[in-house]
Amino acid sequence: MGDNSADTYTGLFPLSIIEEGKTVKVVKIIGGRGLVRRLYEIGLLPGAEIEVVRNSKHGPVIIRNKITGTFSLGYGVAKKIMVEVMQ
Amino acid sequence: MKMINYYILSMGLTYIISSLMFILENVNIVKTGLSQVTPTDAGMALYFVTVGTLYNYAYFKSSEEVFGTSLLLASIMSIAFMFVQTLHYSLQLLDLIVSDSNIEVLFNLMRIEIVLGILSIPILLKERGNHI
Amino acid sequence: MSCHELSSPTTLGNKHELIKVAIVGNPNVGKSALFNKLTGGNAWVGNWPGVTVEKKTGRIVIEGHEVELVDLPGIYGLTPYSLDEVIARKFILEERPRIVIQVINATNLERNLYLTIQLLEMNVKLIIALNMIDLAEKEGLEIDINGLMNQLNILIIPTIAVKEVGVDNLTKAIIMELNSPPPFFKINYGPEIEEAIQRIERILDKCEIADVGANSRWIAIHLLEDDKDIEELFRKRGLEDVLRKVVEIKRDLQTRLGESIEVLMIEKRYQYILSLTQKYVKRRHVKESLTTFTDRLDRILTHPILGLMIFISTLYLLFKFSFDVASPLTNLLDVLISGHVHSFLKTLPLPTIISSLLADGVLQGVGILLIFIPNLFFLFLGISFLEDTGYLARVTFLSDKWMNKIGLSGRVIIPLLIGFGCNVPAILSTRVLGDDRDRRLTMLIIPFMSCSARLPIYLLFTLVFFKENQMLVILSIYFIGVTTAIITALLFNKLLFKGQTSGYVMDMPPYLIPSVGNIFAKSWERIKSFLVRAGSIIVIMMVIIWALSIFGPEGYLGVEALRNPDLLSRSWIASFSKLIEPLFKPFNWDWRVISSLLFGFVAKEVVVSSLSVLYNVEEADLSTVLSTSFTPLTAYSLMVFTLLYTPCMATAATLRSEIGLKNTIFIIIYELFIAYIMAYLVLSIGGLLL
Repeated sequence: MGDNSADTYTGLFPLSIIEEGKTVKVVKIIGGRGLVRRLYEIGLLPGAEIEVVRNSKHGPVIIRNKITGTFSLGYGVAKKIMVEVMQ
Repeated sequence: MKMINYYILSMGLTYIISSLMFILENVNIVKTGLSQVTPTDAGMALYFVTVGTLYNYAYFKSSEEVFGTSLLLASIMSIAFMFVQTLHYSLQLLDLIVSDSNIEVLFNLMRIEIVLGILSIPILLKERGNHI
Repeated sequence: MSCHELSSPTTLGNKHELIKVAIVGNPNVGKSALFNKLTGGNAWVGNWPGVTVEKKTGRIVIEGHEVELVDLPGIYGLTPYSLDEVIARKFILEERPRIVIQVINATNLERNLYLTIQLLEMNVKLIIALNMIDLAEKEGLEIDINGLMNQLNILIIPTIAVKEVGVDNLTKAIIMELNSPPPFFKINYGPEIEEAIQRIERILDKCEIADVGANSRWIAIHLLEDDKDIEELFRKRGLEDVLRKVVEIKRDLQTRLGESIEVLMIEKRYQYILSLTQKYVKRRHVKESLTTFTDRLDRILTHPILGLMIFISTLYLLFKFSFDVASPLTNLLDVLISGHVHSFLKTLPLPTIISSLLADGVLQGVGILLIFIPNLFFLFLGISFLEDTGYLARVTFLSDKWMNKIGLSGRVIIPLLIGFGCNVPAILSTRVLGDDRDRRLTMLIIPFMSCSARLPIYLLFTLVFFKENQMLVILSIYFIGVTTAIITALLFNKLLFKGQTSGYVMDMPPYLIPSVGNIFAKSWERIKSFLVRAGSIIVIMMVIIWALSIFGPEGYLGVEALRNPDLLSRSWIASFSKLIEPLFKPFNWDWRVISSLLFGFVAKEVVVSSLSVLYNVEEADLSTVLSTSFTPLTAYSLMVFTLLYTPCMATAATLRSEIGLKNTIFIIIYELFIAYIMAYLVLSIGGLLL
């Protein structure tokens, strides 16, 4: 799970397993309405590009969205955000 | 430039050695009897290890960007500890007035963490200038 | 005629009217600092109606107008997620403040403007306090304030709250805004959505929803976005047929768009914001910006190994700071209160029962409170300092991985930390948690965090029985507390709270040097919440216990009972303790220990002082007496019992107001049960080993 190298990222992945430094595109968010809405409002809309600043693998992640800034997402949240890796 | 690097290295080593001495004392290998220069408890020993690691990390990464950050954090942590201890021992003096505690607390103001904290001030001042 | 006008624009400028002004903003924008500067510290804390979230209100007079400022909890948008946010939105919608001041963090305009857009859509009279403008300049941002002001048609006042810059302009702006008409604002959501909005508006115009507090376009937009609260409101009014029609319109729109309506609408808002910032914000490149500085620090502070080492070291220093620095002050207060003031009260020419009531009841209670204060104050100073530097956000990140293992999110670490100081503010601080399940589970385990009130008990017993390894033994008690908390969390995860935590979403603020004034203000607020909640309860309970000690089944025993163990053994307290003594047979505790544990329910450190009364010795000589009636093992099991046995009165009262009486009673019983089992385990395992 954690040993995905850059080339093997094809298709959808939960944000929680993406390596640090990668830029990803949000595809969809699974989860309760309140949470999904909150994530949308801070700019994690489907289609948005975000950078994974820090990922502690099986733990929380820190992401950066160019527009809305830097956020820390708990592991529980990061698992629910499905992304695809850009280049 | 070299001078500064040696200064940093010796700060880091002092912290590490001091906490090593604490460990040795506590597993009863040696009795140094130098309580002024060793941590008083395990938490403090860990603190010393952390600050020492940051100083040494800075020394070994002196060509990289992380050098300044590591140094900044090390000096902040070092000074923070000095601040807390100085405050603590000074307030204990206040207690002397109302109770019969020992005047020995004055010597605490010369403990190693306070000395090292003072020695970290120039580092912080220098790093602060570089950062904000 | 439309049936949902804005609050009627009459009686403007009436000087005797109280003008309500709400202050809103995202978290971490310096909202509280600005509120404190605006009110000059003249604020009071009350409760929001119906819920128990604190409401901070301050009243000021500007040019003869009386203005009431209300500080609302931090929000990102108008769709609520945590309890805090529900309240912020409710206030704006239902109480209709005359003016809303939104505090914006100038370094992150885009995200902050999202809330602005939502407020403008509601047609509230908005003033923007563009805060941290100095930092924005340092970041190389040039904001064309006039241009933005004209485009949005609202007042924008640049401020630096921590330096009190722009505060006067802000108060002037409040008066200027009073008589201006509410702004007209509209975002074009594109032809399909606009058409749907109009269709819904037409339906709304035919019904009676005058007091929703917003215009029909706003309601229509929120219905399109599945706003559950608005839907609920309609259902309550019996307007289900309206909702049914809306659902039809939505379905129709959905098929035409092929994408989520909600996502499209949020996108449109951000597109609008981007068009604004492209026009009015210029970015210069700066060499050493706050962002790069923060990034560099984060490389170490969120590092999996170094970061964790720094975190634990920081924790250690935090507790060292709060206990070591406070202890000389605590001693001083103790000598003053139980010595000087106590004997002074006794010398007053009053009937003995009255002077005893004052000295042994009321003063005792007040003394307990005062002795807490240095300790708590220093802990809160430390926590507020770490909070304002931005470090606590990283602590949340670092601990999330570990907290997840017990089914909680990293955010829970902060309430738990505060719990080591005092459980009361710890429970109050769970309100920021977005997830109700996390909140309940956290409240359940907070009482196992050994608060500072329990330390005197450990100190006393370890001094007598474990002189050699005092620190180690005390540490082991804290450790047992944390372990019990972990086991409890795991257990209830399986039993009651099925599933996992939903996690947290938190903004990572840049590292800043905090303002001293703000730290003190914040710490004082937390202390105040403890004093307000715990204060009266502790004093009243001390008086009740005082009364139960000087009265017994045979009537009035005289105030001497408090100093005379023979008399005291005939009091109500003693009778009750003797009644339940058989329950504690395995521990070999006599009624005196049980009585002091009963006293300890009020506030745990009372256990020590009441033991000294019951054994009829001075506190200083208590150790000699204890060494004869306890063994190291029974002493240790008593320490474990006092650690776990029940939340104190003040904590119980706070729990009750947060989660209701039934849950509180459950927690008390559960914790009594756990304490009993653990103390018993200590005895039997220890008995086997020794």
